[in-house]
Parts: sequence; structure tokens; C-alpha cells
Amino acid sequence: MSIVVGIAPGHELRGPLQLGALLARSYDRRLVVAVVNSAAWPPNRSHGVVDGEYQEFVSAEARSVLDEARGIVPGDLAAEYLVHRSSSARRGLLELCEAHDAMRLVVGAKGEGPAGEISLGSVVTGLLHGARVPVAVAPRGYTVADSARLERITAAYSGSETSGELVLGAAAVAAEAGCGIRIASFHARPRAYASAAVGLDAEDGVIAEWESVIRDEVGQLLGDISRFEARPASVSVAVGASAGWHEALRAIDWRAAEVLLVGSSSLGPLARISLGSHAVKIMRHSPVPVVVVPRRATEEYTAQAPVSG
Amino acid sequence: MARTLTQQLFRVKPVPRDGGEQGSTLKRSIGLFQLTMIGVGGTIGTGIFFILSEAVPIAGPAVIWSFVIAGLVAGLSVLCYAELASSVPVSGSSYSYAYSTLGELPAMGVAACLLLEYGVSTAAVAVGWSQYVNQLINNLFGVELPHALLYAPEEGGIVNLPAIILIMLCMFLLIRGTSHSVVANTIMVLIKIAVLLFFVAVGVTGWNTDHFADFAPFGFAGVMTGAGIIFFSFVGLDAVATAGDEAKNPRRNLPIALVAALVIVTGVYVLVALTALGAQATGEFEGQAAGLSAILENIVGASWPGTVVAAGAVISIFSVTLVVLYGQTRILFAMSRDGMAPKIFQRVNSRTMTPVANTVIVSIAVSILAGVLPINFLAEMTSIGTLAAFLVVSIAVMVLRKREPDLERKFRVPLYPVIPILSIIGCLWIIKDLRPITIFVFLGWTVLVLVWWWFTGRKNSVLGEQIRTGMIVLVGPGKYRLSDAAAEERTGHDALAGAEADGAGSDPARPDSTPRDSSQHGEPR
Repeated sequence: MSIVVGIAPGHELRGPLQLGALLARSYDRRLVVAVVNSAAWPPNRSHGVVDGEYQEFVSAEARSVLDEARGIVPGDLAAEYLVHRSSSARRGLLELCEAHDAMRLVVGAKGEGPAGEISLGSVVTGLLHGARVPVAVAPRGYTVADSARLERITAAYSGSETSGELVLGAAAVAAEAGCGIRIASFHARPRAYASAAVGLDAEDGVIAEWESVIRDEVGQLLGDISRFEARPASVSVAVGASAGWHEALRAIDWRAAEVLLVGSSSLGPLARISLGSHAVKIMRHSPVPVVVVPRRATEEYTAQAPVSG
Repeated sequence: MARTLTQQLFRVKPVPRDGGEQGSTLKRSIGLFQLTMIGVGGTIGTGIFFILSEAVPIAGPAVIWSFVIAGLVAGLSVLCYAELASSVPVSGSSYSYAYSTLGELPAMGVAACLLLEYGVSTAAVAVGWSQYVNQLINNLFGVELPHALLYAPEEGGIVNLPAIILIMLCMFLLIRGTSHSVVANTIMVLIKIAVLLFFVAVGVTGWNTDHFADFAPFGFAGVMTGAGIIFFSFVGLDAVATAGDEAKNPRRNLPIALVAALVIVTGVYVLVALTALGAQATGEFEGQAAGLSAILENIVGASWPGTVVAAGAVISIFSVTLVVLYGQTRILFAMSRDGMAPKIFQRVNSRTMTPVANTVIVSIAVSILAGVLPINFLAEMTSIGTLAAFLVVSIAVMVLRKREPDLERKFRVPLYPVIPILSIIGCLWIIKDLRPITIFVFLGWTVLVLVWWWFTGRKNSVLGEQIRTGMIVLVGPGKYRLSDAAAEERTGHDALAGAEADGAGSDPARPDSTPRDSSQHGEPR
């Protein structure tokens, strides 16, 4: 199995490459660094001179990006560098995952977002719907020590059944990688509607109630994890609460080599319009790389957890 | 025994002196302008879009005075409300204030008023919305909804379908946990005011002084009955008092914001009423649906101004419905946590972080009211609920001044005791002129709630339980405080939000559920 890192000319390289290296070292997998060239499509077309020149330019760009990548990937890792031709970046990355038996696909956040945050570009959004493996997204400007190993996986728990299953899957992955697992729930404490005449703190009670529900549910998950044969190095629980999502994600501590795992059940197109979804907000404001388990990968991911008896 | 019962009836919920259950760190300071906008936003749009059709036939052109009287009484009451709100260091609804100051029984009385006020006014607003939606669809697409699906059975229809759809839509949004930002509130306020001013600007072109000839056809009684119906349009002004908790310099800003909001709201209402009366003879108001749009269309002879007003009304009334429905669910939530309402109302869905069952039950109940009851009855029921709540609040201020003269009050009613007394008289006066059926239904409802409390709430009272278990200790007649142990536990709970618990004992509910091996793995940092 491998960790596939998708990079592209003109996009940030260091973040996704270092994240890929971190995962490859922690999970003891090979690294595949790839540039998808979608300009040469379809491949069997008789190219004119102009198009030929453009193709040559694109290939040269891809090669130079790969050269740059070689300089970033730490020397202790076995890595393969390649250019893959496909009709689109998204399709190309999916094909690469298939061809190289990927365990994770790593990409960078969209280039225009604020530093340290994750803005989803169209390619990444497409991947979240189409990929059959978890997709790791590095925040803009992400760096980690060259020799780092994953210290902890934080699994975002949203209260849904799927999210609970993902937590157990993450605990199994953490056990295998020899790192800790943390179950975290986040909320940006909403303000009551000012004109409702019920006081501006009306939501505090709702949140207190929510926290007690979450505590009960997390307690059950902890019980399940404690029955695993191979257990994570450490288990912890956290609630990140603040007035806004950005602060809520930073209300709990984060380690240098840590990832946040979120499910994608609520990342659908409907959730992204106007109303927004908690998962989208958590992902966007995460101070550490986010591993999203796409819908198609959920079943396989959750199956990693041993059946607790 | 009698003493125990009295203690039970008037046991007062203690409030932590550090301000609220949690979240005191999130306190923001609300400036004067924002505070005024909260008042205007909470008030305008609840009734003015459709209340004229109900009030003008009763009061005639003197309906202008009905507005002024209703506004004055609302203002006096809200001043009392503001003092009560500032005496209690938590922010909440008047139910919470009454529980922390007057005791459990009066709090239940206030709760009955509030549940009625909120539930019925949501229904009323939704019915008004349906008129404008119909008007808008008709103007834009030339399609008119069948009468049977637009009106309550009493008005010759079967059910008011658009009103039900609106409430269901709001229910969906509330379940999703939509937030209603200050910016959204301000935008809505501006839309409402812009639409009403647009109405005035266009409507004034059809001015006809003859319409004011028979100024008060039903005399002062008509004016007062009109005020009773119109009082509904001032629901929401109390939002200023509940936000006062976070106002900068409340002693100065609260009354200013209150008076400013009242002046703006009453001014806009009177302008709209004057314009409408100048543009249309008194006799034409009765039974007029989507009144403001209809008036403009009649003046201009084209549909576009009516469409503009209808569109504005549809947007702004929608936001009001959302806010009021929200308020209703949160009042029930607070009651449920106190043991005064069934537990289902405090159940929070872990995924949406909202009280889903509560929202669904409230929305279904309200949509039934909106679907089958006529708007005038709904408006009157809202008015009496609000008036009764204000009445209790005004009495509460006087009771508290007598019982706890030394209590710290961030805001004190000016001209005490004149204002509370005037407020009480004003509320009673308006109530007396409402239709008997309204008063009977209101009394019936209140008795029902109190009977319910007597048989269930009284026994399930969380406060009662805390007194029994010694978590709360009696410190004087009707007054309790948290025991030291309980106060400590509360502090500990507050620390959990945002804090992190590692490894064993991270879950207070299941301390035994953590794997024993909790050594940390990884590079030392």
C-alpha cells in the first residue's frame, strides 16, 4: 500500500509533501509523488505544432515540480516520482490511487485561502465525493519536522452514528501506528436571537445539555476502544468551545505532528450552501491537517475497527 | 403544612452572583445603536403589515390614537421589564426573571402568558405572511391560491396552507441550527423600514382628507379595543430589556434605547396608518387581505408597488416568524430544565446541537393554530398574553422594591412608583376592552397551565429536588442559595467546556471506561 501525494505546478508543494512524508513514515508505507498532466488529453490526438509546443512546456513544468519535490521529501523515505496523464486532475488522482493501492491520498488546500486554514478548491471537493480512500488535506503553509511521526489522531465526533464508527476506525489506525487517539467535539457557541426576548444566553443551556449528551456517547466509545485487543498509545477526550469556529478549534491543544479526522457525511453539496455544516467549518478552521473520509471510503475505514464484544 | 405549601409556591430560584450558568466570559458590550436596533428589529413587522384591516373597522381613523396608547403602555411596561431584568444577574425571558424574583407559582403564571404570546403570535404572523405570499404569487405569476387553502374555517376556508408551510420551513431552519446574526437582524430591520417608508411615499399620493371626517365612529371604547388588537404590533419590544444584560452603561442606555425604539416604531406605525387612512376610506379596510399592497395597487392602478411591498413583507415577516418560534422553543427548554415542562423539551440532538423534539412539537402545535384560527382572534390572544406578562412584571417590580430594597439594580424605573402603577392600569384597561372570548380563553389556558404545574411541575421541580437534597439552602422567606458543595460542582462543570481531559477520568459519566494504558507515545517536544 502507498501514500499518494498529488502536487501541481503553481501550487504549494511543501505542505502536502511533508504531510505525505509524515503519514508514510507513521504508517510505514511507500510514498508516491505525482503530477497529473491533464493538458495532453486525449492522448492519441495528432498534435499540431502549437499544441506540441504547449505539451512540451507542460511536461517540462511537471518535471521541474517533481525535481523540487525530491528536494523536499526527507531522504529516509522510499518514494516514487511520476507524471500521470489524465482527462482531469481529479480523475488522474483517483486513477493513481487505484494503480498504486493507496492507503491515503494527500493534497494541498486551495491556494487563495488564509494561511493556516483549509479552503477547498474544486479538485479537492471533487475528490471528497469520488475518492475511495481517505483524503488528507494540508493547511496552507503547513510544515512539520522531517523526522516526525504521527503523535496523535484527533477524531472529530459529531454525534452521528457514522461519526462514532469513524472514531473507532481511527482508534484502530492509531493503535496500528502506535500513536494516541483523541475524541474531540467542537462547537461555536451560538448567540440567541437578540430580538427573541429570551435573553442572549438562551443557548448556553442548550450547549450544556449538548455537552452532557456528547459526554455520554463518548463514554460509550471509550468503552468500545478499551475492549480493543490492540489499543492506541493514549486515549483522551476534548471539547472545543468558543464563540466562533476558529477559536473553538484552537480551544484545545494540538501537537506538532497531529491530524484531525472528519467524516464527510455532512460535506455534501446541500450542506455547503448557505446553511453551512459543522464538518465544513471544522475542516476549514482546523490548525492541523485534516483527513477526510469520503462517503465511498467510510465503510472500509470503519471496518478497520475490531468488532467489540 | 401551610407554611411548607407557601414555601413551595414561592420558592425562588437562586442565581449565581457571577452571572449565569456559563459563558460569562463571552459577554459582549452592546452599544446604544445596536440596542435600539434590537428593539426595532424585534417589534416592527409583527403586525403593521396586516393589523390595520382588523383595527380600523373597530376604531375608525382614530386608530392612530390606538397606536399611540398601545405604544405608551408597551413603553411603560418595558421600563418595568428592564428593571426586573437588571435585578437578576442572568439574562433570560420574563419567566426566568419571575422565577428568580417572585417564585415558582408566579413564574408559571408568566410562563403561561409567554407560551401563549409566543405560540399564538407566531401563528398570527404566519397567517399575515400567507396573505402577502398569495398577493406576491398572484402579482408575479397571475396564479391565485384557492380560497379554501388560504383561510381558516371561520373565514370560509379549510386550512391556511401557506402559513403551515412557513412554520415548517422555520422549523427546518431551527433544527438545522441556523444562526441569526446581528448583521442579518440589521438587514431585516432595514428591509422592513424601507418597505414601510416606500408604502408611505407612494401611498401619500392618494391622500384624501375626507377619509378622516368620521374620526372616531365608536368613540373612546373603539380606540381602546383597537389598542388591544394593535398591542400585538408592539410585541418584541421587551427584547431591549433582555439584551440589557450586556448593554454598555445600562442605567443610561437602556431607557434611551427603549424610548428611541418606541419612538421609531410608533412613528413608523402612525405614518403607515395615516397614509393608509388617507388613501382609503374606512369602510374598505374590513377583510382586506395583504392590506398595504392592496392599498397601493388601488392608488397607482398598477401592481408593481404592491409587489414591492409584498416582497418586503414576505422576507421580513419570515424572519419574525423564525425569531418568535425560536423564542418559544427556548422558553420551553428553560422550563424543561427547571422541571416545569416535560423532559422531552430539553432533549438536545448531539448532531445538530438543537432541541429537535422541542422544535418539532412546538412547530406542529403552532402550525395547527395558524392553519385553523382566524387572524383577529390570534392577534387578540397574543395581545392578552403579552399584556398579562407585562402586568406581572410591573407588579413584580413593586414587590421586589418592597421585599428586597437593597438588591443591586443596574437600571431603576424612573418616577417610581408612578410608572409601574400606570403600567398596571394601562395593561388592565386594554385587557378590559378585549372581546370576552379572548379573556375567557386566556384565563382557561392559564388555569390549565397552573393545574398542570400543581399536579406535575410542582413535584418534578428541579429546584424542589435541590432543596430536598440539601443542594440549596433556605436563607430567608422564599429565598434560597446554592450550598457550597453545589456551587463548587457548578464551577467544575463550567471548566469542562473548552478544557481538555486526558486519559483516565476524562469522562465524568463513565470514569471506568478509559483504557488503562494511557502512556503517551511520540517524540518528546
